[in-house]
Amino acid sequence: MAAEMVSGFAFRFLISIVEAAPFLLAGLITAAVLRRFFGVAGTRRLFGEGTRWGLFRAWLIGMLLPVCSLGVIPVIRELRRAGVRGGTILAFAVSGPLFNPLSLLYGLTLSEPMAIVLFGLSSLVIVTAAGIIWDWCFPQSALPAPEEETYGIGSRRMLAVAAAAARESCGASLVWVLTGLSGVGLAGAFLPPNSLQHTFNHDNPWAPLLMTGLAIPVYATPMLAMTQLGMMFQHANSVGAAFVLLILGAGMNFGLLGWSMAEYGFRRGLAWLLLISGIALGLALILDKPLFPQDIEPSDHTHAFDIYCRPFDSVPDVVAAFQQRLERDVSPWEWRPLFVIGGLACLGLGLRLADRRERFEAWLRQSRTVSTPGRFDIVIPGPVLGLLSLAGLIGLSISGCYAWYPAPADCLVAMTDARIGALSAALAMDHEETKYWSERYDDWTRKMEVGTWLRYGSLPLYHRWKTRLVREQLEMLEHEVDGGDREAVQKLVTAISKSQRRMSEAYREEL
Amino acid sequence: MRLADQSRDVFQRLQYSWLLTAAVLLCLTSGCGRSQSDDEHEHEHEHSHHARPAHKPDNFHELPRELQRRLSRDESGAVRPSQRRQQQLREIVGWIPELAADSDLRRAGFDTAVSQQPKFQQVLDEIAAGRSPDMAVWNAAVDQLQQLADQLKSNAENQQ
Repeated sequence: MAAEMVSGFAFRFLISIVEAAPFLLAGLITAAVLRRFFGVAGTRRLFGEGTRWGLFRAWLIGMLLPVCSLGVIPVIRELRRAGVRGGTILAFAVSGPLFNPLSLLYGLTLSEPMAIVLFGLSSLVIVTAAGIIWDWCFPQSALPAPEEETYGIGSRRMLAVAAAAARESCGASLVWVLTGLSGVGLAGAFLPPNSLQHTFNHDNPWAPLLMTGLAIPVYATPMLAMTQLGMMFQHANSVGAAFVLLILGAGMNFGLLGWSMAEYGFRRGLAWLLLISGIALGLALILDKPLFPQDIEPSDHTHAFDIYCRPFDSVPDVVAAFQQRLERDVSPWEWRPLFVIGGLACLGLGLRLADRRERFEAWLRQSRTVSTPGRFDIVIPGPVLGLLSLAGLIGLSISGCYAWYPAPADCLVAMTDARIGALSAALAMDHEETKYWSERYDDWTRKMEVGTWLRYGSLPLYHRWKTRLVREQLEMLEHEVDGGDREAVQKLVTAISKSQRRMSEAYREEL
Repeated sequence: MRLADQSRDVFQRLQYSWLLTAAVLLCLTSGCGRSQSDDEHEHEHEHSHHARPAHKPDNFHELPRELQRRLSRDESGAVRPSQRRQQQLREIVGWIPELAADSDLRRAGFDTAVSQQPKFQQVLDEIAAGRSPDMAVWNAAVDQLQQLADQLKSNAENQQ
């Protein structure tokens, strides 16, 4: 049992850090861009410091930037350094991780679009209300703005950005990121396998409150939260719990809480947590009934939260099981962003050890004698470069949608392995394998739906139903394999093959 | 430097309270584990969720027949289905998209089938309101579904 708990902690921790890596990288780049391109004054101006638009701007920038609740940590540390007000920083910290173009597309296609729009607007209400109250209760929370640093133009300015990102990647941000990941690790150690399947049913009045208990410690990327939201709507689980999952699951973690308490004091940090949780819970109760999907038969369970529970149960060799699952769950390319962060952290560590007094940065600040600029040489001000960089990050995440959600024909090809794996495993009555491949098969059908919406501007009901049928039959298949009903499994395998053919025809020929 | 020191100090003070908070939150969520009997009980529920209701038509071919059979005139010529029957009819009408998608109907046929849904609902609403329903609307919609079912059947026969 102890071995399973330890490996459960390690597995969830590792999987989460791999998932967080691209967002963390985006956060480190954003923080460095704010520090070196925008500077103190530019950052304060961008976040509306001293104006009444601060909270709205924090929400809007947060909604656009592709960061998660861990990737937001270096950014809020930079905002704090620049002397931005506490309410604005905390509003950005919560709203930043909620949506990005990838997750928004997924939510609009696979959940209830109206629910997603209302969830987005509700997040504005939450961060604005909490920010105003917090700033009113705790005025003068901003640090005095530090002296402005001016860097030379050209390669010096670029090197300064890289140095800032490198130093930050192995500094206090890393400590808070690891603290943030400890929550999901603890859940993986202590929550019994599959113990959350019935906790968030629509008829459980405590579901939103129970979700608060789960969502604060665990870490979810914007995409994961949106996937879980989609599954909750598909199973007609508690809408209130889904809302809390989005706000607190994607927007909050132990690292963020720890940072806010360390920076502002225990009382103020706790006040922030209570404000956000309280308003989110209140809105969850308001939204619970009106947004409940009427056209879906409520299910009495969901598998959306199995990934927070202990992954290993009664396995003979935990180490082998750990390695096998890691190899399966993390594709080779998914490690790459983590390697980039590792490289950046090594560089930062080298800089910190070899150059504690930041002489390298001082050298970069020295103005270079520039010969008379050429006719076509234009010196671009730092804030303009900063805006372009942030716009580039946003543009990259939008264009990334086309790669993440391929065209329907490509999805149909890509799902072949998963389909064969799921059906073969089912015929062999191997539950673990069936579950593993079914999840991948299911995932490709969802990606195909979003890919269709992205390219054709809509997803007709006909196509929606064709994919939904495959998913429903897959779920039944998994249960029948688990229950050991061989006859039912054979019938379902035939049914799924037939549904796959119809789905394929629909997406290839009738779009 | 001041901030870093402060962060480190508070972090050290907080780390044990984090563990306690985490344990409380997770226990609250999961109920501190489950017994074997709980799991077995849940398993039954999971399967019961997937049990097919007795009044659900097996396929699209049975759909028009079921709709026709369950809403017919009584001996006095009136249409007065019981509350239970009305509920079953509403559920069958709700299953039209699913049954149509689970057939070889192409997109145009699917759209035609789904477009009959509001007509059935209109009649059921009239019955629920205690008014005399317009059975011509109901029958016309059933006929549309029947035509689609016949078309499917003949297509299947032609393919064989």
